[in-house]
Amino acid sequence: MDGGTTAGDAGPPLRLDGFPRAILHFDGDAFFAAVEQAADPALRGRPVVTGKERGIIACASYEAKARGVRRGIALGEARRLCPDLVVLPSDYETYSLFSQRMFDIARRFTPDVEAYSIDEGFAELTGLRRLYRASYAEIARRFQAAAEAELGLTVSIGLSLSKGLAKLASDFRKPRGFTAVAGRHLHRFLARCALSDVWGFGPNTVALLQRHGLRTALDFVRRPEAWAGRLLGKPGREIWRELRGDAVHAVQSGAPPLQASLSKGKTFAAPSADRDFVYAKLLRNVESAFIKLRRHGLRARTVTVALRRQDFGQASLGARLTRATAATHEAVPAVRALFDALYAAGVPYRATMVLLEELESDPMTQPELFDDPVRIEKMAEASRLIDRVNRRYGKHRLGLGTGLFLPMRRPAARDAAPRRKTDRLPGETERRRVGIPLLRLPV
Amino acid sequence: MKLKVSKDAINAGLQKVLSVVVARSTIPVLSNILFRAEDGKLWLTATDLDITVRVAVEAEVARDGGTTIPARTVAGVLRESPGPEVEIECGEDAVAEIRSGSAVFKLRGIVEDDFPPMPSFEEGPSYAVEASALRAMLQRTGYAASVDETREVLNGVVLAFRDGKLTAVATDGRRLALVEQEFEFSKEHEGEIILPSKTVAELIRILGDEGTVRIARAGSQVMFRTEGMALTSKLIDGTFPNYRQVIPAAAEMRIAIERELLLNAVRRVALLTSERSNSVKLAFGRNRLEISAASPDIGEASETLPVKHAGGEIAVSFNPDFIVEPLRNLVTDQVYIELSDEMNPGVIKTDDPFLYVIMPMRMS
Repeated sequence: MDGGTTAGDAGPPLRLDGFPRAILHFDGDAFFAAVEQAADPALRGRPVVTGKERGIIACASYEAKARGVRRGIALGEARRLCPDLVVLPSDYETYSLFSQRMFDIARRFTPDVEAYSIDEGFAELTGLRRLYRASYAEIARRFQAAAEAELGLTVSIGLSLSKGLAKLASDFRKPRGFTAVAGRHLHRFLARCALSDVWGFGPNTVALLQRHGLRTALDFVRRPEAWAGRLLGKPGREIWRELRGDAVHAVQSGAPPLQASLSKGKTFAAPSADRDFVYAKLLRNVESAFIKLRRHGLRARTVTVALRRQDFGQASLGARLTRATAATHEAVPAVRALFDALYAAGVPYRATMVLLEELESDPMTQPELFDDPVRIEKMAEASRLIDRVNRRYGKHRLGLGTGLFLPMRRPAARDAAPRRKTDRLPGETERRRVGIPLLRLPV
Repeated sequence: MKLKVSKDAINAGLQKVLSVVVARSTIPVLSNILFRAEDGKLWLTATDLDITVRVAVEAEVARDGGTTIPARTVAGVLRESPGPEVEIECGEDAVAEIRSGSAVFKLRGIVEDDFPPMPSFEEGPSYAVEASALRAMLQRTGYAASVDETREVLNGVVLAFRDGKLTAVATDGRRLALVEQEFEFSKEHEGEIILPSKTVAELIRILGDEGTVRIARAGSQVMFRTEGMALTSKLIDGTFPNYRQVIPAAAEMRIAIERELLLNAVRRVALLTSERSNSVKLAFGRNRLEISAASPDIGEASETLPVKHAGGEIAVSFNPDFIVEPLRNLVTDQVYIELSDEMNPGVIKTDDPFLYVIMPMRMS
């Protein structure tokens, strides 16, 4: 196909400035596997994968990737490819602790940090040069070095004028990559990026653009904005502008904006027909959902409960509360009634779910004439208190009493309990955790 | 059945029963209207099994009898009839023949026996009320009923016969409308009934300006009967919350204001409320009322009205619908707003026995 540009022939620059805006994207390299290697030096340099509990590779270390082991393939296949593979169960508790620390390190540099997922995030650096007496690239390098030194794992860095460009840049070189793209170099960078690398372009969009003779991200932004808009609509127009270095999307340092509903569901380690256990699991999901609801400053009006049986059949039932609420206690009577209507004795269940809908964010609330305002305020206060305690001591440390029906968990199937669960720190129990990772450091 | 009836009369009668008809029912006969000729009248009946409405139309009846005819079709036929009079004839086969002018229609119906019978009424407590007064009471309260199906007991209007008064009350839990009238009835007939909102709407439509309506209760059913009309309805079963307890005993300030002025201003300002921020603020100052609204994603609005108010300043936020609805359903020129603070319920009153309690919105 011709008409496309190549790296050597990028044509005139798209813009002439340096960093009118500086947005950093950081991405933990093979994060889950890297955390395992960071926590246990004996694993460093060895092919490590996680996902043992599911039988599918969740994450492969670079050593494993070099042997052809990829995310998503079956464990048996991975072992065939790499007989000396170290297979570990997923240890989300530890990954989450490392993730929090990675974001905490970023927040030392700037308050505007967006936790995009457990292993990647954005940071707004614009305007920080004077504060640190350093260039944006130098600030980014300091962050990269701090993360590596303090966490014992590597991150890849992309630094550019928009989130879309920063993400493209951090993917450009991996692992331990560092790619800073100033405005005046955009054209040369984009000429080396395939369409499929662009954040937001799926296989269908890429195929469509290729039919129009485009090969690289530069080919795309060389077309007029209106053309992109006509072909791909508003999202296409936004990607076009982001790739040209006009930041359309801000770094969202608060909690991400929420949609019209919120749900929480968990599959049990093993199916259970124990009424108290199933109900306790359900209420735990309700607690989690309301914690999330409050974190986003929302209230819910409708609660729907679903119970999934071992045979994968599912029954669900919803109820509308008299008013939208963020207080867990206010929803519990409705949840109890729904559960009683759904639960069938003697049937083994495998999962419970809760869905909150009709979410409201209006800071003005409409109190009820017939309500007891003191009782409602007490329930709201209880939720505020639970959040405060748990922020300090960990999620669900303080919760509804039904949580006591959640028994000490048996080791999961496939002998796949992560070490963090089996080797406890002094004073820890199955449920009471100390919020630090367990490291295997030679002393 | 064989009869002759004026086109206008039958169409007027039809209008009173049509809204009860179930458009698409799993029971086909519920989509039909029962035509019954007897006692020199044509009786039209429609039911959705909860409400049954029966009206009489003056007619020249040649032969008594009855049948049911699909409501939508017959309504169209009668509306479009060319002549001033309509003849309807029907035999055993449930095919009604309708003639008007030179037009002839044959409508396939369902036999009369399939139509649910009107509930029979043993004599229970009964009351006689002026039709126009009852309609006004329902009109001034009905809109305040809850539409939330999960709060069934609030999905209608309470009629309470107690202490020598007839009281109509409706509430959705956030505002409450109440109309009370002196009313004579025997002491042992004290009690209350909850009329479903649909019944209330039918009554407002059907009740005329003249005559008395007899209200008779039998178990979970109620019947409203006037000359030439009978409506029976299921009642809502349950205990209505104690509405007396939410009526504020006294208020710090009472402000008179022209009803239409307030209604129009609130409606205008409410244009800039949104689903996400649905409140208007009423800020009373010396001889002025400022009504304002702001939505982060739309914009803001404010309007100032002159009022007679010498007292202190107070600002209270309300759902605008909760102010607009009573004002729209009242007829008096002037209303009185009573407020104590921004947390406690406000009250709207008129010189009539009308009372409306409204819970303010609050910053959470």
